Amino acid sequence: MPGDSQYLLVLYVAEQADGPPVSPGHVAGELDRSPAATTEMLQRLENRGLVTYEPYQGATLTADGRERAADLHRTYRTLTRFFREVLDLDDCEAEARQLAGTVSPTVADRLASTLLADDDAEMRESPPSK
Amino acid sequence: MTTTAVVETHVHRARDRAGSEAEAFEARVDAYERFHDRVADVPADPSTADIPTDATTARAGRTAPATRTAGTTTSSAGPAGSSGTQRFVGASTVDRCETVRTAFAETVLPESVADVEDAEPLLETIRTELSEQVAVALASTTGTTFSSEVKRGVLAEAESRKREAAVVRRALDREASSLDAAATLVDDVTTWIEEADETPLSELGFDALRERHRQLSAFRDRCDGTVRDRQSTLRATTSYELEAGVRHRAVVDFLYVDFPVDYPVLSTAARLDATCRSCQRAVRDHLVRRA
Repeated sequence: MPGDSQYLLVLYVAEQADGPPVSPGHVAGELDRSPAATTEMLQRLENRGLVTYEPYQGATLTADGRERAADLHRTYRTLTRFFREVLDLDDCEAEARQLAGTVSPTVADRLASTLLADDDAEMRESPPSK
Repeated sequence: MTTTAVVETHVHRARDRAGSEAEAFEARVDAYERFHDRVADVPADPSTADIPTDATTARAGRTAPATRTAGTTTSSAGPAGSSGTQRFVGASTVDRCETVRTAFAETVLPESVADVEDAEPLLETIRTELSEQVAVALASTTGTTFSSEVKRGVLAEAESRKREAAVVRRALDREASSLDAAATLVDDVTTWIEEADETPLSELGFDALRERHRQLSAFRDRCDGTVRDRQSTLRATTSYELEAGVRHRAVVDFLYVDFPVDYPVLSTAARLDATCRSCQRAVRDHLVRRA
C-alpha cells in the first residue's frame, strides 16, 4: 500500500540519521499528516510486524520492516535522481516517496541501469555548460 | 476535428459578472453626466437661500462598492447656461426644484435602484445618492428656494458621484483584463488535456511522455504566474482610486459576494494546478516503466 511505503521510508531515513526510535511527531511532520492519523498508521504497521511502536517513545523498524524499507529506499533514490535530473522536478523527493511503493525493484533497477547510466554518459561527453 | 467541450469555471462566471457590472457603472456615469447637464440648465432662483443647515449630513449606506465613500467637496459646476436661463424665466422656485427632481428621476434613478426590489420614494434615493442636505433642499415640502448655492451643491454632488462611478468602472476594466488572462489559461489547459486524453498514456513512448510532462510543468508555471499577477492586481489601487476611496480588493469583494468562492481566479488557478499535478503523476508513473 503506497501510504505504508511512505511511512516506512520516513522511518528508515530517520533511523539512518539519528537511530531509533523515531517520534510520531517527526513522521507526521515529514508526511504532513495529523498526529492522530500518524499514530493510527504506526499501530497498523506494528500489527503487520513491520515496526514496534511505544507510545511517548516512538517507532522502530523491525528486521522485516527494515528490509522492506531498504528496498523502498533504493527505489526512492533512483526515482529521486530520475525526477531531478531527467524531469527537472522541483519537489522530486516528495514525489519519489509517493511513487516508490508502486514501482517494483525490477523496474527501479532497469531505470537506474539504463536511463540514468545513459544520462551520465551524455553528461560526461557534453562540454561543461556555462 | 476535435469537438472541444466548454469548461465553465469560476473565472468564466466572474468574467460575466465583471462585464455586466462594468456596463452598469458605465450607465451610471452616463446617467450622472446627463443629470449634471440638465441641472446646469436650470437657472438658480435670483433670491438667495442656503441649503438647510439643520439637516443631518449623515448618509444612508449602500451596498454598492465604494462609490459612496469618496469625498464630495469638489465642485466643477458653473453658472447655468444662458439658453437654459431663458427657458426657465418666470418659473417658480418650486418648479425649479421639481425640474431637478424630475431630471434625477429620469436619469440617475433607473441606474440607482435597478437592483432594489421595492420601489423607494424619490427623495429617499436622492438622499442616498446626493446627500441629506440636497434631498432636503429639493423637497417640495421644505419650501427651500433653488438658490445658486443649492444648485452648486447639487452639481458638486453629481460630479462627485460621476467621478466615483468612473473610478469603479476603471477598476472593473482592470478586473476584466485580469480575468481574461486567467480565462485564457483555463481554456489552454483544458483544451490541451482534452486533446491529450484522446491518446492513452499506455500508447505513448518515452519521449512523448516526457514531452507531456514538460507541457504540464509549463502549465503549472503559468498557474503560478497567474496567482502572482492576480495577487498583484488585488493589491493594486491607483491614486485616483485612493482619492475616491476605491480599493481593488473591495471591488472584488462586492463583485463576488454571492459566489461560492471568495477568490475565483485564485481558486481556479489552484484547481488547475492540482489537475496538472495529478496528470503529471500519471505521466511519471508511465515514464518510469518505459525506461
